[in-house]
Amino acid sequence: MATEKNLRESLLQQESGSAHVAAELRDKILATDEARVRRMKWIAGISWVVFLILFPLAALIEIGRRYRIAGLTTSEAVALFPEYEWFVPLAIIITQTLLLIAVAMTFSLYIRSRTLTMHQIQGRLAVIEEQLRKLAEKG
Amino acid sequence: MKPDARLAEQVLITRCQLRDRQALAELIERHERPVRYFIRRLVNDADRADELFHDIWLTVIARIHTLGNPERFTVWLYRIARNRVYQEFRRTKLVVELDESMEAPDNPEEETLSFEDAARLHRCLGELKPWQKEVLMLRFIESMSYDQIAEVLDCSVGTVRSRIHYAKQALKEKLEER
Repeated sequence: MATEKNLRESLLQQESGSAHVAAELRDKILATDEARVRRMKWIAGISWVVFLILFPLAALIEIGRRYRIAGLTTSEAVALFPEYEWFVPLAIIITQTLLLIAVAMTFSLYIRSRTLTMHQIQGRLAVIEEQLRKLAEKG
Repeated sequence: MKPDARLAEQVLITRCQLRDRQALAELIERHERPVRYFIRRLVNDADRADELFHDIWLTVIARIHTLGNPERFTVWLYRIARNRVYQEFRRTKLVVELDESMEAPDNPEEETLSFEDAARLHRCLGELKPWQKEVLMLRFIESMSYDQIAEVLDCSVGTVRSRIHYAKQALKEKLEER
């Protein structure tokens, strides 16, 4: 007759799948996590690269336009350099969006990759050492 | 848990917090059966439970560095699991009723359950309400103390005491019906 003490094993046996399924599930979790981190790294990397290319490009075009067409009105400038009308405003929006994505992804990656500090590890080791000492005394 | 096993678990969790993939695999393996049982019994759907189990562990891996005391890992894990399951209940519009006004008798600890057939118990457990199942599983599958269960459920120890009492009663009734 099962009592509360061995109830755990009896109940778990009712639901336990094969070890193969459990291992598959474990590997799937770890693979998903790795893929997620890899995806974040890619998005962050691409966002920074495109931002770093687009930002100086837009700035160069804007400076060039001002230098060459000083004294012209916006409509005259647009007539002379049609790309100004769409490229610079679009580049500003894109660079701002990319900057936000890049910063958010970099911050997430930083949080995800955080581990214990040396100080925390030392604290843990001290606790474990203390418990081992107590165990040895009992033994 | 035995002192040496507790110590081994603390070391394992510390390794996980240092992003050791092998330690993470071992940790998942170690808690796979009870956590999966807990989720499966709560949601009563094996496939959905496995999806939730997957999500729960991804959260655990992402947040494990925030766990201050490794001795609290099991409580922390079940808190995440329970929150995720209840989030699922809310998403699927399943109403989870909790009667906080119930009062436990003075000595609920004296009441013990004994079971001849674990399979029958397993089936009856599945028929209980979520709040009844969760306290019984935390108590009997993970052997948690009332304090630990209160922490997982985010309620008082008195509430845990009364929930366990009424959950045991409900379980007994189900067993007698069969």
